[in-house]
Amino acid sequence: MTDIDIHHVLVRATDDLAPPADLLDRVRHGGRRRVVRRRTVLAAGAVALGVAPAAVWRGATAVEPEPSAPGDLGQDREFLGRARKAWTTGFESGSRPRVLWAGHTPAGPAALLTQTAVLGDGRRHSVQGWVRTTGGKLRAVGVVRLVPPGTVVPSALLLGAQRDSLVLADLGRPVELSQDFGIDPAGRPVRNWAPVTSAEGVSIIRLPARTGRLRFGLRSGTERVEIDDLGEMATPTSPGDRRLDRTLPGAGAATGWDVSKLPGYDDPYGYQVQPDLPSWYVRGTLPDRRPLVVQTVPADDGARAFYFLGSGTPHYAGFRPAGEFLRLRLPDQLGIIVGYLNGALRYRAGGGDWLPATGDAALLPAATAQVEITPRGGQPFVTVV
Amino acid sequence: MADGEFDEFVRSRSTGLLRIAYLLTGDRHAAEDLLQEVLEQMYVRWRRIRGAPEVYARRTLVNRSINRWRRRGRRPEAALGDLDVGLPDHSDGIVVRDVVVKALRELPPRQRAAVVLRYLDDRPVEEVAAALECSPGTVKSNAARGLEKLRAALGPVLVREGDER
Repeated sequence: MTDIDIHHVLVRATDDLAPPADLLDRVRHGGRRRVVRRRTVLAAGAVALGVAPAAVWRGATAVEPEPSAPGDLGQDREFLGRARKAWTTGFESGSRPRVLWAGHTPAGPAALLTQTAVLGDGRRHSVQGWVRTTGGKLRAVGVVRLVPPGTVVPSALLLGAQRDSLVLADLGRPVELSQDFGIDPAGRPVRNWAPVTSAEGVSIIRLPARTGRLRFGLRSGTERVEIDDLGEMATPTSPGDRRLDRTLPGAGAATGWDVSKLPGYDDPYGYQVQPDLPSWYVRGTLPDRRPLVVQTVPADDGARAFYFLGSGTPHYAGFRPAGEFLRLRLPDQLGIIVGYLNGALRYRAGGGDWLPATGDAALLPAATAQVEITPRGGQPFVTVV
Repeated sequence: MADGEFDEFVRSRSTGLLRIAYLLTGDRHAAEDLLQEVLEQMYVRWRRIRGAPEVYARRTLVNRSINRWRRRGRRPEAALGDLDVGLPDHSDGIVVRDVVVKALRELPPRQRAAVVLRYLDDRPVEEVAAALECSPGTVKSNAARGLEKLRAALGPVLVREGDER
């Protein structure tokens, strides 16, 4: 069995794979959103927080001696030099990075740095980010934050194998932490907040270990405090880019019937790992001709389900797994909303004949007992509803 | 930003990178997600990386695929045997893919990455070392150990392929 044999097998296993036709458009859209999101979110945060005179840095020359920094490693010139050497921004810049804090964490030494940077549009910004110990070496954390020149904003790292050590740099600003969240009877996230007090501008907080899950929130005033080593993974609840909009036959107007646009239904300061699964937004009409909307909203590792019946008041239908499959029984025998992304649906009551449904989402009669789903390219299966 | 250069890179290399991502993740949807994330990151940083985009792409694909915690967060993990390979059409290609994906899944992440970059992407040891941020010697040992396990798992497939030829 030669290396060439291995090559042929690996090629055979992948030779029918091709990227989506709209990949370039999606990438360009997503790339622009990353830049814009950083600029707008962080700029707004910096404005709200004001400028910190003690932490403002307006550039330095290459011959400036290594200044000390807050933190238990802030006097260690050798470490500060290593931190600056490990620091990379991904943007062109022409000035020397400055260490805002340097110290030990449960995952080894780390440092927070700032530097001026020139973006693709030619404008100067401050770039702020962390270096941390990974594999025994200091490495730059993947995400840097752009803030208006000469400003800094609170930020944090999440360290440890269980992601249970939060290194929070408040930089002298009031910061509050919420360890967990709940869902109230109306389906709205609720949190309790406690102020964080720090020594020398940085706190190290132990969080409950939840492998692969995050539930905490961080805020400074009305601004969200960003976790810099999560990248785009954990975001506030939002309709996202994978919302499955479906309009059932005869659907009436239901403008604004969308909990993602209603106050109180998002979790703007929360970090939740959202599964990359679609959310549903289905518009239809009830047998009595009232408009209907059924909607799922991602939260943590599932989705909150809502329905609107004849008015713009949302009703919470509980928490359920997020994904391609939607099933929600409406109250008062009004019917059952069933959906399966790109699937074909049939239904029947009791032992009756199978009846086809139109599209991959449908409002079925309340008497429906079974739904047959045929995924695209797959075999049919039957589920009880 | 040199949009034209970036666009051309995506058009010319996305298929190859998707295939790497697939063998690293074992899941077609996860591979598409991974590739899109990496390309978005490259779009933002294109000015800096356009001199060596391939190296950056491979390194980022590997690093992100190895970060299992993140992947579990974005998409619930499932047994690879249940993904992409359970269709009733058990053509030869499907069977090969099933066996390959399962065999790769059994390898430690860095061995898997070394094998994929070395033998699917046909990269020289030095380039694989750059992607894995390790020495060429480590690449050779990882690839050798990975290959040994892969050969054991793929043996029946290869024998059958040889018979057919």
